[in-house]
Amino acid sequence: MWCELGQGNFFDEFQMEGVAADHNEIYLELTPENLSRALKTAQNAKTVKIKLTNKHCPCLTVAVELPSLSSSSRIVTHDIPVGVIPRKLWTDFREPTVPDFDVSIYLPVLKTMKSVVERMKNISNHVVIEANLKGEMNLKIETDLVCITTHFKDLGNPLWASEDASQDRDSENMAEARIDIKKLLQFLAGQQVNPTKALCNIVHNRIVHFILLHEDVSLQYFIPALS
Amino acid sequence: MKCLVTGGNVRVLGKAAHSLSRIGDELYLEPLENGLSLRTVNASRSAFACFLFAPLFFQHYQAARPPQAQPPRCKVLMKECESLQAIFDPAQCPNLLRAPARVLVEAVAPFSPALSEVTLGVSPGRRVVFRSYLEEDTDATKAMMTEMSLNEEEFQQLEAQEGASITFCLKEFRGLLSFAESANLPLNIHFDVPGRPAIFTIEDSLLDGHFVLATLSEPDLCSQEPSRPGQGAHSTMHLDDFANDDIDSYMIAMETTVCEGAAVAPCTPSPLSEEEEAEPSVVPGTPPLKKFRSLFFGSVLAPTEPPCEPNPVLAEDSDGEG
Repeated sequence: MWCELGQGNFFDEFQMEGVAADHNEIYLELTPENLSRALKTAQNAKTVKIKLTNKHCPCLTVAVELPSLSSSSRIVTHDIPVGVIPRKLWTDFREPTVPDFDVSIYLPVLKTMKSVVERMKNISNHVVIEANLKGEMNLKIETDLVCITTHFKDLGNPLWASEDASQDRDSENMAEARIDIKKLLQFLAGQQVNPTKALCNIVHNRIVHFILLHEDVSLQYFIPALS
Repeated sequence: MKCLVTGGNVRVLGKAAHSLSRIGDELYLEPLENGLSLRTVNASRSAFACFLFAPLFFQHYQAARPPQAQPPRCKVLMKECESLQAIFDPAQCPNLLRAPARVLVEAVAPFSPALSEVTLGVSPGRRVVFRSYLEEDTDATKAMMTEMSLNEEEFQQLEAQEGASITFCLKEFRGLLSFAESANLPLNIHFDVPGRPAIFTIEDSLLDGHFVLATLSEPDLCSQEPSRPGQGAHSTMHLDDFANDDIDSYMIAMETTVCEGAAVAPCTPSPLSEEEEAEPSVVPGTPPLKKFRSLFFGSVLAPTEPPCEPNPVLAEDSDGEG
């Protein structure tokens, strides 16, 4: 999963100095649950400050100022231990490139898709996701007893800059991938807000690549196909 | 014994029992002249709780049926047993904190439900600070640390010296908190030096509750982080706390990348933990659960017995009851 947030849209103040002028980046490793729990306490916060500190080990310190009944605010401080990733390993964490996909299609309303997949997960562990350049997408599950397909139509296909390969493609031809249904559900269940744009790229039998765009956040999610 | 509870008080009684069940497995019932007492103690005898419901709490209250002179005492299993009595006296505690239950519930909300112990103290600057306590065998480089600091004005009463602090079991404390919140009562926290039990009390005209929890025998907040360079108590929290941080602190974190992945220096063991190892072990028979001193319990069959010297010997029940 890859997510990008424009710092100007989230922070009133932002100061950062990377390792070097030409490598103005910092790579940190942490347990997401810690950060998630720290930010949960900030739901009604007046201010939140996040700073990289060195306590007993490098930490991301989240300081939350909460309203109080008295003249001065309550302050919650969380010290989240982080691992600082050395520069030589940074290439492991590069943004993955958009794969050479066979079909790119806009997703149906995520809420609908999620409720369909939720029901499917009780019947099967895998789901086939297929789509074509005519704006049609199907979700298929198959067991010994039953086959279920949900059809979505008129979804629309996004135009990409380098369309040459897909121009030759028969628009009715489906590209498909069989994926773990739990992973698909994890991705769908995590979405709290409706994105501005939601699309999916399918590399036939290889990978499904989801891209969600909100105003100031981009989220990419890769699910490999099972054999 | 014959007592009749009606109306909303049934719920209150239920909540009290629920709150006690967070501490121990057995409920000791004893009808007294001044009301019905419900008490419990945990397995390691490091936590004791009791509620006393005044006769007015009941629609009908009869402690003992004449001609039976002695009112029955029983555990939930309805067997005869000794009386459970912890010997403690809130008046002997020099430190007191009182706050509405709501404030305390909000104060501990940021802490993970899985957290065992919490440290409560008064910082220089007279803010009241709760901080997560890391057990010795926890890896400090993996565990998240949380601190909540509140202005003393949020407390109805604060009689404690700056630097005073105690560490106690958060889970057991939450048991009383939920009762106090539902009853909408303020909570008093009486405490002394680390190692001496802390007494949490609530009361109104119809009931009172006492939760007595053992505290870790460890000096103040400061010594939890002895390896932090040149800082005073971590809890010197001002709104601009970051201005006080070592300005190079984040640069130090950065250095590890430049040094091609050199490991961060391991945390030097606290001189404090060595001191803890040297402490005399808890009285045999008590589970080796951390460094909590067991509360001294006497078996009060003869109420005229003078209270034992409360430090830190465990007095076995004279019945030898486990």
